[in-house]
Amino acid sequence: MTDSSDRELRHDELRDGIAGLGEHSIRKSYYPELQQRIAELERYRVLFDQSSDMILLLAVPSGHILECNESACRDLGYSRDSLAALTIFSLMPPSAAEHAVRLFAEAQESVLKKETFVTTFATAGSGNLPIELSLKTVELDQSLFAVADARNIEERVQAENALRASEERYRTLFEDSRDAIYMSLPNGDFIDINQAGIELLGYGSKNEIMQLNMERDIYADPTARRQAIQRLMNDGYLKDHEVQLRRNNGDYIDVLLTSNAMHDEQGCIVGYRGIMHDITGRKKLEQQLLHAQKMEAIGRLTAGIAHDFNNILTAILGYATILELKMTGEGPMKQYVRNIVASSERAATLIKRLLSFSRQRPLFRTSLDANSIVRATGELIAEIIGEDIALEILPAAQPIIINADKSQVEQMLMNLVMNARDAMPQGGILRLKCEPYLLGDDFIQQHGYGKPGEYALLSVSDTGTGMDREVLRKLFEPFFTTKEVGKGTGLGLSIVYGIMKQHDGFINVESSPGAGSTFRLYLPAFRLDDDPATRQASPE
Amino acid sequence: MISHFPLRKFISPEFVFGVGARKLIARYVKNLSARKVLLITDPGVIATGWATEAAAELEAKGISCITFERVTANPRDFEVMDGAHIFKEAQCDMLVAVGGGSPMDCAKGIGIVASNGKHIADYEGIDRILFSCPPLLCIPTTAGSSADVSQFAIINATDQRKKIAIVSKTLVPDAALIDPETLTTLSPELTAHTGMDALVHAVEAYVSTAGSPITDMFALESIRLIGANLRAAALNPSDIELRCRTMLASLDAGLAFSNAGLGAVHAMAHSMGGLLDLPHGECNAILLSGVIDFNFDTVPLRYRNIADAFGIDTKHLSDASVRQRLIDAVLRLNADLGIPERLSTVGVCADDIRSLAANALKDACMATNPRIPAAHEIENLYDRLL
Repeated sequence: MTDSSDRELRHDELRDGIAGLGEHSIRKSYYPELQQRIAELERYRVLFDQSSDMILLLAVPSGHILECNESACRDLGYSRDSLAALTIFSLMPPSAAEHAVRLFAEAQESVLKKETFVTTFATAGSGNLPIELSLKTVELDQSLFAVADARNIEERVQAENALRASEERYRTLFEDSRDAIYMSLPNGDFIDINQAGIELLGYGSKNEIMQLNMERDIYADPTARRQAIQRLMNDGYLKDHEVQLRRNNGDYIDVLLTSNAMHDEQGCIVGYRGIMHDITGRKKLEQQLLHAQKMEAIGRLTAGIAHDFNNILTAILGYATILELKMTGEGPMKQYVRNIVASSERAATLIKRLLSFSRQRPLFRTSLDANSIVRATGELIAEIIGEDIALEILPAAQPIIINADKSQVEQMLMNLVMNARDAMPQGGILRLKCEPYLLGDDFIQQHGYGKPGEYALLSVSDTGTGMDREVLRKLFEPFFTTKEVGKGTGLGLSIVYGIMKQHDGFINVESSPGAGSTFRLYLPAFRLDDDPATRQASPE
Repeated sequence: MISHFPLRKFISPEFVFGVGARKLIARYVKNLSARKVLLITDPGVIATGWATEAAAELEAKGISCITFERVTANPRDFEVMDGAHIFKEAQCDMLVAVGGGSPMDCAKGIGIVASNGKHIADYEGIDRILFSCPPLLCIPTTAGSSADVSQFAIINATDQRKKIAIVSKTLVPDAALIDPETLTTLSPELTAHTGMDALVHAVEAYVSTAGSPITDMFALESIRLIGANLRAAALNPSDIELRCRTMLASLDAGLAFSNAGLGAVHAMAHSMGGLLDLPHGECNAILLSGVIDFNFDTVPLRYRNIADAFGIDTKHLSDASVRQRLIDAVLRLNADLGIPERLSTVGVCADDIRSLAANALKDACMATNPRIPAAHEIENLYDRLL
């Protein structure tokens, strides 16, 4: 019976099911499913709205905004409805809008595509929001639409701008520095150099320098670079390290180098960067000053000794003269006395010269034409130089009036001419020239001394043996001579130097071994319209 | 039964009945917001021109339409799956069935799979459908199956060789356009089979344990109309008045059985259709007399009312006489319609009976039969009709 009642129970259940009395029986309705789908759509809507990107659904090709998410409304400052009244093109700058219009037109004809580019969206507050825009066409219900995903890149752009500004600042610091700044590879090839560096090294453009190697082309002494790097490695840096460089024109310049090494992530040296400060001018001045001080010291010393010596010589000469007068008749004794007198007179002449170098002898200045001195000297020396030396006397076309001690200037020229002759044992050309010279700032800059104004430039050139740097350096020092012992006193050029100083002039020399020498004497000149009296009256 | 008024539900689709109803197809499709229709039919209906006419009507109104006609009698599960695949692929959003029970049941199956996704056999049973099917419009071209108003879909599960019943109120179509004119192309044989199917629907609904006064009303009216008109309709296919009556009889029967359920005849016929792929209406017709005999004593008063409606004067007749008169009337109608008397005639063997009975017992329709049979009783029933 249990079996049959079970069966009846099952049949009752089935019967109620067929009669539509089951728990879930209801006539056809889409509402439960609709609610489920709405819930799903809500979830998608949350996804859509919570994306930090602005997402727009667009009609193609009109670009009308059909749907937008909350990020779009928020970032652009529009309500959903007002945004839906716009086209995406109206939000973009004209060039980007044209691009998008073209994309949409193409999308209608060809395959679906995606394109990403950076542009801006105009916000309701008439600002411009930088965005990265991805456009992708999609097909829905056999119609073409586009999905726009716009990422707000305002912060990124700001960071980039800040970085660019910072780079610009450092680039300016680099380019505008008056000191040379460079970067080089470990082998010495240039990586970069600023404008001051290009100018310092005397090149026309950065490109020229980029072809060069510091060690090979820039350092005066290639080993100096290796020494500098060694020192940098030891100390970790290089500070005010003095090196000599060679300019494009072959001139040498002195710089103070401050440098450190550049490392890669592994700590290996990938190059060096350095700042070079030009001290060539300063060094010249220092040398000039040092030289002047040395000459001054020697002058004072010489003057002191010469005076005492002169007094002693006066006594010797006086007594020797008396002795000579007292001796009657000829005899060897009288000849000895005469020798004493002659030697004493020679010593006195030497002392006079020494005094002249040390400016202790007063000048007898007169206004005279520098050309006349050159002519007079020329006539004088024509007889004493050998026949194998051609003499060229080149006075200026117009008179150049100087205020000078005529005999001293002649003395100077004589000294220089004699040196020139001695420099040309095989013969050559000796040129004595006089010309007006306007001394300007460029001269001062180049030599480290000088005073602007008009000068008479007297030059003595030879085509002889010339001098090396070492000789040039000591040239004007007293008692320095390259002649055999007994042949020269070593005072000739020192006297010239002293005379020039007394005349407020300058002297320099240009020479190199085998290429002859040119001595230039710069003596202050009156301008033609100057009143010589006024000039003379002015304090010296 | 404690009360004569147990809890009962009544659901009917929106339907338009009358000559020309079929022509409203485009209006209904549009009102249901559909844009692309899958029209389910079968080769027989194609031959009559009704399916082509429906498709043309849709195209004319700018509605795109795909016709799916690979449907056989007793629609197969794979046909359903094929149709569902096409429905999805072509992005259809509405089903229109034009035809008899087979295309309509197939359309229901396609809708189930389209909305719910799994294999159609997974929805066998009562209230197993979670999501409502896409909108379904039915244009019946037979007066019998009533699938256009019913909550049933009967699908042939080929691997199990049985018909599965899918029962759910959600299977009641959204609308039916019931146009008697479509019956004018129905052959006398199909008129007979479908007409007898309608009669069985009405009889079984009336004696069903899930019946109600509402369904009784439709059932008895259906029986009356069939008893009075089916013979004539089969003989005069083009008589539109007769076709209207049999069509109405089918509609009444459908409204009755969709809400009241069926009984042993359908359980046993489903079993035969599944195992032997026999015509549903014919099986029902042969089985009806035997089941009346088996059930009669359980609900004699119900059968007396059926006999009355069928045109038998039962006044002063004993129950036994009523039973005999009713069985004779059914047999005589079958004979007049050219329906065989014996199951062996349609191809059932004695060897089939055991498994036929087993499947019939498990059929959902058996649950509302007034007398619950044991297995051997079903076997006896088949055996006596063999």
